[in-house]
Amino acid sequence: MIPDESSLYLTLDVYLPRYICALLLGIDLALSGFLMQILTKNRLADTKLMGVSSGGLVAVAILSSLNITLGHALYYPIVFIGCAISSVLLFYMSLKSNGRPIFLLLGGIGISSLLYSLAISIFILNHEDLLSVYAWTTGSLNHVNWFHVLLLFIVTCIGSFLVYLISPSLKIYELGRNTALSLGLAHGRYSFYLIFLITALVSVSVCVAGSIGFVGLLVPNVARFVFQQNYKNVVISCIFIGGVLLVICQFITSFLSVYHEIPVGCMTAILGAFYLLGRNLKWAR
Amino acid sequence: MGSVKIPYFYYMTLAFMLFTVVILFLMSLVLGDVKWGSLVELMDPEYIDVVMEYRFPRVLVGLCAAINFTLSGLLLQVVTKNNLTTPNIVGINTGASFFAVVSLLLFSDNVMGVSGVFSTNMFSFMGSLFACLLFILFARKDFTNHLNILNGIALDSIFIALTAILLLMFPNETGSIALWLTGSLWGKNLQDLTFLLPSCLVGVLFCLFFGQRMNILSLSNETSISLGIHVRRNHFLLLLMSCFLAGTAVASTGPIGFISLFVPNVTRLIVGENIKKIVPFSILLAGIIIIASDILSRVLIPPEEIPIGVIVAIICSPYLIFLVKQR
Amino acid sequence: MHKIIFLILCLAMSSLFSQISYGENAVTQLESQINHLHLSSPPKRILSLCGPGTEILATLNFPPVGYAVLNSGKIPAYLDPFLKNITKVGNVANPSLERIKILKPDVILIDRVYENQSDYIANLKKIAPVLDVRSSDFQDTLGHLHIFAKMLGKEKEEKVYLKNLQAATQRVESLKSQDKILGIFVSSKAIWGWTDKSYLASVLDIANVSYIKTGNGSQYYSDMLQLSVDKILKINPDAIFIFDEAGKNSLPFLQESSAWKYIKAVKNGKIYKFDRDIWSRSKGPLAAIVMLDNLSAANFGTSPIKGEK
Repeated sequence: MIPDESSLYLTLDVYLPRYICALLLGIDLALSGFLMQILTKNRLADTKLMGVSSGGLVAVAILSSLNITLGHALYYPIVFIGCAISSVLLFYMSLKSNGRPIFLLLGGIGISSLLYSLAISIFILNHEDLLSVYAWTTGSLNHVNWFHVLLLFIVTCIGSFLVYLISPSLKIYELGRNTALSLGLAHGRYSFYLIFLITALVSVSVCVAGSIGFVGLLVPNVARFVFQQNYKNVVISCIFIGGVLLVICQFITSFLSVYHEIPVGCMTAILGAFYLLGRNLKWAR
Repeated sequence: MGSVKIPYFYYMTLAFMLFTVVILFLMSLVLGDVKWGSLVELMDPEYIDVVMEYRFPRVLVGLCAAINFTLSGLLLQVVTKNNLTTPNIVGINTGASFFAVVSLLLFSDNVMGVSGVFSTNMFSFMGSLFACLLFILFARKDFTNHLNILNGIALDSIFIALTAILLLMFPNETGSIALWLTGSLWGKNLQDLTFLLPSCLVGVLFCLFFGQRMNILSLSNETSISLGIHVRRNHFLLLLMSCFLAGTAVASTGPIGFISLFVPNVTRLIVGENIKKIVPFSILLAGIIIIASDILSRVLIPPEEIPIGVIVAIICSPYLIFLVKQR
Repeated sequence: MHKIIFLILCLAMSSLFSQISYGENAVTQLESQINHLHLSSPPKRILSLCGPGTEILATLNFPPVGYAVLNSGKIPAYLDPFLKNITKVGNVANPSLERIKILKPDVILIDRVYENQSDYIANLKKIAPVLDVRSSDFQDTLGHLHIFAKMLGKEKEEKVYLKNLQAATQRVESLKSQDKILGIFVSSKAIWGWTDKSYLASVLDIANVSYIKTGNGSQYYSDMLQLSVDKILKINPDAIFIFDEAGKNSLPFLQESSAWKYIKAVKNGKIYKFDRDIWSRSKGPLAAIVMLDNLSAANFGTSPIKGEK
């Protein structure tokens, strides 16, 4: 057996799950960001910014206040319900804000902050240590083990396969309800598929790592910039870019985590912020 | 949703709200952890001491902060021509929080002879100004351009991430601020009002006098210019005023963001789009909400206190439904 | 000229000495704080806003006018009879200032847990003089106990306590345990451990139970440090004490990490669960006796209290 103090063991049994989770989670978040951008017809949709993962956070807060200490991976069904509620809210809002993407963005931020505050309030009312809660809600991969990897692997594989399958139809979906119907696409059913897939992917990410943001914003935009027409290629490149991106972020944060564990969500937030700023500067020129 | 209401009705509503605010204010002075039995005992000097030292200042601080947040949100909504803008979008609240955490790290032992509270306040205010400057720096010519909102969100995220990194790298030195980051009125005294009260008065007077101008600015830019108002200069002024108000408020109580979103929008639902009418109504509504929250935070689980940010979040969460149903 | 330089050097040296860290001169610091108060007679109304303060007063059978609960929202059960009719003023972090004021204490005891919340102390100082009874070491706690016993004229109670402590120590010593211990607690999702220069380590030390060398704590708290399961693996203690609040269980959270099962303590089945309020938060004289009794009840050294892996 592997000797317990060797660094080889540590690499294999402790750090490897984290990086595999980072890879899978990157794929997961990139795809869910892609789907959200199609669903809300808004290039700036992101799962954390718009509040989908905040619904999951509230669910976890309620669960931990009830002192239910199933392994965290078993939270999945309840977190699924929480994320489903917030994604339905978001979808409903997107229907109402036709053609004005900024309204949806701000409304999504409103939903996200409100739900996030509710989650934090529940934690406060239960005398939980705020700093640890804060670290977790920013998105942290430091407590994953092989069971998480298994769960993430199953959901991500099935999810990405399904997304790849429906990606050509999504091109038609994006043309709008009437056009899609006239072209033979069951628009309402596809909306439901999208919501279901987004919820499934996001809730597994909340279960494993808290809510990591901005990956869903960055990666699909970059992928679409490269492959404008063919959505199948966009999906594949999302998968690659997303996975690699989060692995790099995890690598950087593990360097910074010499004394205290830094959550990987901080790194993605900084990257995402620079992307947003850089994007606007480019347009202005 | 025009304001076809009779002005008489409007003033009656205002008067009723003012009355409510006063009643709530008195209730907050009377209700609380330490209770007295009869009216005679209310005149007890001991009791008056407790009230004047602990309850009166914190209610006042809460009131001024709430008014500041509301007006700051309203000004930003006029500048960006968008009803869902909050000071968060410009990064003011989070910039102030970031600087407050930095000040705790640098001045953890009351160095430089400045009291700890004072330096945290100063730094928070500087932080909000810094965020505002960054926003203006990155902003394109026209503030109403929605790209600026994206920039603001980006700045917001950077500050949040940096704050999180600092909090997690130095948990022992900064742990006490985790509660402040949710908004708390615990231990506020008259000293906290030194900056807050003047800025609140300035803000209120500004909004009352500039109401008509803000109405014009809410129209399209061309219309405003043709009516003789220099759009860019006024946007600049409103933006700075908004940052000033939000900065002083965050410096004293910590960020209580929802009031900026909730109060102006609910006011618009009731009163219409005329800013001259919105301003007094939203001031009073903010007062009602914050004083009620203060009473609840102190009365629910004595002797412990629920942080006021939590109560405001819970009160404002039904607004989620409205948010979704809007437009 | 030389005299001025000499004076400046003296001032510099004395200011250096005033920055002494907590563990070393806590007892003399408390003494000097009390001297600074210039109390004409021993204080009659003491308010305790910290665990150690409440316990010291309970040991000496001197009821305070008010007390604060620990962060769990409760106080340890053995203090219940003592504090039955005494006013609760809230928790340690933000107590109800109104109640404190109305109780009119002569002296307030704190241990500055949130040390940088300086407006907390300023608010308290307006009501009554504040004494800091923080001790990161059990020897300091005993020193503080002695100071209070002398001040309040309760030397007899102190002697009774010391005898009980002696008996409890001997019971644990007779178990002759050889294991090196690590004490940890989980705060939501972060693992914290007590260093070898902490209250826990020194209590175990007087009973001849060794504590594992953990390295230094953080800058302000030399007795705690943040850990992760792989760091615990690097330290590799023989036995682990997990401190949990009643009704909570951190073991599943620790077991989630794949490094957990490789730790020596886990492989030998020497994982013990104890109450966090008593073992981790109280830091008072009575807690020490309860801790030692818990250890002898667990038959420590021979079989674990819960054979959990």
